[in-house]
Amino acid sequence: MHDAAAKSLSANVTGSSETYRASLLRDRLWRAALWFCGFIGFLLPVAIIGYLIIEGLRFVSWQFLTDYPKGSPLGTEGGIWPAVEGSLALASIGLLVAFPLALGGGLYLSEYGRSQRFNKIVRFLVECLAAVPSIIFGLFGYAFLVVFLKFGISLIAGGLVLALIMFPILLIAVQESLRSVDEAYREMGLSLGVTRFYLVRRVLLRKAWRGIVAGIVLAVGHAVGSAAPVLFTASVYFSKGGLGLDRPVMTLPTHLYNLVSEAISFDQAFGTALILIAGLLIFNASAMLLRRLGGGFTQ
Amino acid sequence: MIVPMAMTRYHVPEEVCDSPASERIFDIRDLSVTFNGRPVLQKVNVMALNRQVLAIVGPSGSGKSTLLRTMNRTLELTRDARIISGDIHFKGEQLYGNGTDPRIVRKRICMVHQKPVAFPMSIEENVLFGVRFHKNWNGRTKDEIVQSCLERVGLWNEVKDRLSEAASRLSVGQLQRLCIARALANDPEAILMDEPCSALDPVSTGRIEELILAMRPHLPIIIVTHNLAQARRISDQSLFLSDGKSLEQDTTERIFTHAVNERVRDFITGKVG
Ligand SMILES: Nc1ncnc2c1ncn2[C@@H]1O[C@H](COP(=O)(O)OP(=O)(O)OP(=O)(O)O)[C@@H](O)[C@H]1O
Ligand SMILES: [Mg+2]
Repeated sequence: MHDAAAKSLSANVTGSSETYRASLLRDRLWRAALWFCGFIGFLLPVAIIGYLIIEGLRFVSWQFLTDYPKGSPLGTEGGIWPAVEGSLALASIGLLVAFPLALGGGLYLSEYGRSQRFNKIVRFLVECLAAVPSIIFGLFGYAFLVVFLKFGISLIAGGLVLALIMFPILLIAVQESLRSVDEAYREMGLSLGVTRFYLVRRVLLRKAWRGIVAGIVLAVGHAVGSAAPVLFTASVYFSKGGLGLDRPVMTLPTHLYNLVSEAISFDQAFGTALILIAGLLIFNASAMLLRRLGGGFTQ
Repeated sequence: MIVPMAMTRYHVPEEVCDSPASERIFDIRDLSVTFNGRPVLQKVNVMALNRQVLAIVGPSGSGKSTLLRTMNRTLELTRDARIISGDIHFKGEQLYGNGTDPRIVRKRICMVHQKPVAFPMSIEENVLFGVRFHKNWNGRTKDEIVQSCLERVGLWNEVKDRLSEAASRLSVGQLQRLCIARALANDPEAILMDEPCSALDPVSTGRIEELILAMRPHLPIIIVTHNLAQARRISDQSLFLSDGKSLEQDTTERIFTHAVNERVRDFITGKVG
């Protein structure tokens, strides 16, 4: 009696129990497929980093970090400090130049630009710039900065090329994260009679902070990891360390490239790759922390 | 009595028309506004008196928010909106006169919005948001301002121990009172409210209504509300807006008992929504 009632109820709701079971099964399969896709996203980075640790950790030591390349051929022994230092300096210069410009540009497009058409055109061009392959930036840097402006192959030329690469990524991040701030904040802020600048400074930038930091991580990772932009503009095969704006530097990606392409030392190559990845991970983690700290009041 | 300014069949009670100019807080004549060329307000007339609460009621989309936003010059922040004709006087001054700084207008005439919003800073800094810009300290310390504004909205006892906490942790009802405190910190000369209770529960709504009645002797208040019972509870005058036209303004008592305009009567008795 009870059972029959339950049966007729479920039959009423779902048509027949056959199709109901089939749709349950479909749901399970669908979930399994999605889980698998998600798992790839987890597996891929873990596998790559794990592989680098297994292959490279043996060669990483204090000396490897702080010494300069030695041996014959050069790079079979010693360390990679000049490359670490060079990459750090290039990234800092790039960020220092690109971030203020991108912040200003993103703020203008999101908060001040009155002409929709102008905004759209600028945004389109910036997106094009972001899609340009980094080797093209390298070529441009070589032709314009190194040769035409006579900077020579130098830290400053490479830093400016990295700034060019970071600029569109940063600008898009700034603009998007400002745009995602609810219109109610602007309405309410401005209705208190304050200027747009005051509103931007005290409310909008704080609300957009997380997105901007995420953009910085993306831009720096992209710029520091690629060899192409610095290959003809900043990097040399060997340096004993020490920095100067007008002097070339070693960098991690180009050093890695040399070690592998000339089959100098795969062990050293894995060590270098591990340091590069570890550096980026540390950078990401500290950016995450910065997001939390700066974001105490950002929700 | 039908006043001369009424081109439309607009009705304003005698005592309002005869009131001395000094008692007229807002005097709006023949105000027309378009969005993208589409008329949204057409020859709207409003008269708001000192020490009174004016309720603006009417169907959704009739232009109530738009009207309110012309009254503290926030409408011009919307790109597509244009005021095409009309005069707005605030305490006898031209609100849209040449050389009037819209930011000063917004400081003097505050707006409380439908959805309360916490700025990403502490409760205390939320209250001081406008003061830090306008510098209207007038010899008071920041603690004095924070305390007096929060006391006026009845929030002081609830938050006095957590002034440096993020304001986003407050409940919606508390947040709406914080927004009013933030507006009061500007030392406004009038307050505009756009459906300030529509996101709140009945208890919080009751507190806001008490607050409005408590502010009335010092501050003229203009409130848009969808809640006719609320308009009846708290307002002295009511203005009925429909399709961008001001159909009738009268004492709330008379609007709700024997409105002159048939459409107003139908709306109030619930014949039309
Ligand atoms: N930013 C805008 N752009 C274009 N049209 C708008 C804009 N804001 C409002 N409108 C239009 O103006 C008219 C009046 O809108 P308004 O918000 O003033 O009405 P309201 O009476 O406040 O309605 P509600 O009771 O739903 O809040 C509506 O037809 C609306 O679609
Ligand atoms: Mg509205």
